[in-house]
Amino acid sequence: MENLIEVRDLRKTYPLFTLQDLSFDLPAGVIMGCIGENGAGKSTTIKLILDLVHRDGGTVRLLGHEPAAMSLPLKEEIGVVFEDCNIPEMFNARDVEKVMRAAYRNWQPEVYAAWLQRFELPPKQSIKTYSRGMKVKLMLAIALSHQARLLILDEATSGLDPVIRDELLEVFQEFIQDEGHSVFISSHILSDLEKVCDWVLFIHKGRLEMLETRDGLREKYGLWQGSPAELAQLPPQAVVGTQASPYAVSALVRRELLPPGTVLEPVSMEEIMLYVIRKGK
Amino acid sequence: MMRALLLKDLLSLKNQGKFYLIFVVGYGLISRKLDSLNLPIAMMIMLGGMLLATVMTWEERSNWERFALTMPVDRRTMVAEKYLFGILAIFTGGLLAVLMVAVIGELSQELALSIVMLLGLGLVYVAVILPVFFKLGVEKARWVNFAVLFMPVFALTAFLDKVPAGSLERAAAFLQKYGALLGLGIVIAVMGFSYWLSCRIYAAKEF
Repeated sequence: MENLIEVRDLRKTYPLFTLQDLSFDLPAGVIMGCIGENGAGKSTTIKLILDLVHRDGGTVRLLGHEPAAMSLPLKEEIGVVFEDCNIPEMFNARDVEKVMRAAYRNWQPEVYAAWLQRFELPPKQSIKTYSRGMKVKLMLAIALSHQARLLILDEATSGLDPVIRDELLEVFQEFIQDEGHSVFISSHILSDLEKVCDWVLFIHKGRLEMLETRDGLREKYGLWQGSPAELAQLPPQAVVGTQASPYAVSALVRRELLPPGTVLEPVSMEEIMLYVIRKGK
Repeated sequence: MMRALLLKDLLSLKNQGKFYLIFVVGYGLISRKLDSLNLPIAMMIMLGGMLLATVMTWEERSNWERFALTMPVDRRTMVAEKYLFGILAIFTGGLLAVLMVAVIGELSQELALSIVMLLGLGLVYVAVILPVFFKLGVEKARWVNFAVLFMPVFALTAFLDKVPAGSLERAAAFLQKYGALLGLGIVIAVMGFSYWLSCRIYAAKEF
């Protein structure tokens, strides 16, 4: 299976933060969610993949090529949506089309028009008057109108209401119906990612914490609850993180390291992230 | 892609059209009362420089460059387009100056020379300010922009009376003979160096 993104030992150092030893592949036909706390390195990873910041080490292959050396026609196969609307606010959707038509050889006016209609974006209305949700939809309409194979979204769904988020998740799922397509999405809203992601890339403090399929996470981890004394009986290597209340303790545990028959509750992606982050505190 | 970037810049100015029209007409009317048209000519060409700063301000506010670099464009083209836009904006200012002079009075040889000289200065302004904009961003470079625009005027005013007698005449005679060639050479050299510097700055820039 073709990998649309290949990252090996990626490293970027800032004065107060280092992203290091990050390696992963994004195969075709997959939605991969990138999760992590604020400042974990999610946006840095995306910027490194897109060559918007320069890496200090490691390699990146985007659609099989070094990002900085990608041919311009190949760049048409990538659609990117950032958290903010990057179109000057005095533009309307028609102005956007004029520019994009001149920019992309693969621009599909009828597809763009269909997206505007589906997203209910008034073509003549200034972007300044658009809501945040409408702005994200416009950026997504652009990304989906030039025959992109790879969609990269950096916190694009943050700050949107659940209805719009759900609408966008549906679009991502439609997009990967084509097996050659993939989506790489970073988000804080883990419940959304849980709905659509096939793979989860969890970055914590600039390091790869987990790279797992969604189902793999559920199979691998569980939520244990009991008393502090009972917790002490569990194999220490099975306990990933704990949270104590005055009367009980709950723990994120690795299922395969526990004795058979141990009662566990299913764990959500959000709980996994919280337990892992708390582990270091 | 260059066409798309230029189109984007022009469309960014669509709401400013009325303001610039008022500016041009207003200044044209004021200029009828002036003895010399040199200042209005300079203002028209300065208007070109303002257009460049305006489009780059909009880009900065919307984080346009970060998005544009994910489109089928390379960093060198992003830089080249701003030079092209800057040059076009200055020449548009020059064209407005010619029109204004033609409407108000008569385009004398002296005024034509003045327009050509100020066009040259306008192009030098573009060459000086673009690397600064690329390095610092338009907002942070506001004061540098102000200094680049007005320092030459202040410097001339301050030092004009300290120039040794006769040297200005000698300089004028020299310029009359070789001025056009020298000016063209300076503009090309400054532009070339500026573009090289901007490309280096932009290549190292992170978004």
